[in-house]
Amino acid sequence: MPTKQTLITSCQKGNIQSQYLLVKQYTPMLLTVCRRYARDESMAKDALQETFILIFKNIEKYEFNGSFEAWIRKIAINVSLKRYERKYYQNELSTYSFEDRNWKEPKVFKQLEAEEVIKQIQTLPDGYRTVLNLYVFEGLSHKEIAEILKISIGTSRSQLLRARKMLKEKLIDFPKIESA
Amino acid sequence: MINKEFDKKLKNTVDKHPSAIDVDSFWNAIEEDVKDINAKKKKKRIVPFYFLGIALFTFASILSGIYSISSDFSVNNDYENQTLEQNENKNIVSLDEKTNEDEIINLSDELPNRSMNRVEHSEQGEQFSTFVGFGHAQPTPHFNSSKSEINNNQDIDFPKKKKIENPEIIESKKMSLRESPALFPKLENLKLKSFTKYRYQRKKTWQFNLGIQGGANFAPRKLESIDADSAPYATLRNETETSKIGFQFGLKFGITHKSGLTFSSGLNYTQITERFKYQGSTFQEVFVENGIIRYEW
Repeated sequence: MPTKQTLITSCQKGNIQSQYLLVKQYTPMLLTVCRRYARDESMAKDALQETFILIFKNIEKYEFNGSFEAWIRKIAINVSLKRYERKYYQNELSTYSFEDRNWKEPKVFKQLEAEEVIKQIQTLPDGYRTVLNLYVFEGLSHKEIAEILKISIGTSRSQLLRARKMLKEKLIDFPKIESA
Repeated sequence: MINKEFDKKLKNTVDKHPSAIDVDSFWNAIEEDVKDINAKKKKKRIVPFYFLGIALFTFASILSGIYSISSDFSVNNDYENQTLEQNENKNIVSLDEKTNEDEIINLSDELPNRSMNRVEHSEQGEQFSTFVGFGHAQPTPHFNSSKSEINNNQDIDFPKKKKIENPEIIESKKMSLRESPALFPKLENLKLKSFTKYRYQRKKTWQFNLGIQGGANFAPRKLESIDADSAPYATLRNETETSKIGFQFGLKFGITHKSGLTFSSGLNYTQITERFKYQGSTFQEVFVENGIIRYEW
């Protein structure tokens, strides 16, 4: 198995075998990123395909200055974000009512698998899901999110709040919890 | 505080979780695109050599043009004396009444100088024109999201031939993929791809491009007289002057819209060369008015 640097250098030279190894190594990680931003599995796989096309198209620009994982992860995020235009966030209306329900946080993550959490994230409306991903998983501030999505900071805050509440409700309603 | 704990646990649960996927199937879906990208990159590496080739061709054209000029056009150093003799014999200069002796002497000094360095003779050779241009024009960009899958039950309509009358033959041309998959191995392979195939292309609205061009140049010229009095002069020039291959090169800037519409502008240098055969002086009279030499044709 070649080292990471050797693998990347070989991919930069257009070696198809190395490109296959790169895909094999990073596909599971990138698919998780794409799934978090996508509405469903097929859209996530489409985004993943586009991500790898972009990676191989621009891999010469990677100069080993930073983490390669962070670099390809950023490409995956950008591809996923481009799939949802601004209008989705502005025109998005939620019919979900935010009534206070008993949130049993500790139990949820003990019993839920990551796969199930991802599936619940995918069911969130586009705007909620995107803001939640950027804030929770990418660690961006509301100001940065507002700039990226071209929305106001207040919109970003409210979308995050609603996304959290909706996700909590969904996780509580999950069959595994009821049975526990 | 509760929110922060929720976020933290959410991140820890999901972030480093590797999703299960059939990598080989995924690779099969993108392999062709990856090969296309590799091939395009190889082409890009060839582009500098292409530029070099054009530069060499341009340089060779310039050199050949210069060589052609210096070899075909010979300067006759004895021509000064011939011109003077011709002028004396034909009495072209008649300044008896208009100028004094000094002026005649000065004018006589002037005339040979004007006839120096003239080309005596040049032969007409093969004439041809070439042009080499280069420009980088992006293809019309589009984002092809062909999500349609191959339907095995779909009938294939073959192109209809005009003189087929037997209905059995016509029916045999329409067959299902499911009925005869062996006849369509490529399509059968295609259906195995489980992922939607995206072909990524440039999505920029405007794209700048730069090009250089160079090569040989030929500019034919036609001389026509505007009246009967000028006809002999025009005939004389048409018989004694011919165009010759020169060279040209230029730099072009362009901007291409994603629709394919291109606007371009640039700077072009074109050399026009001509050759002529001297037939003796064509002016009839030379006289001086207020110190200014005038030639009467």
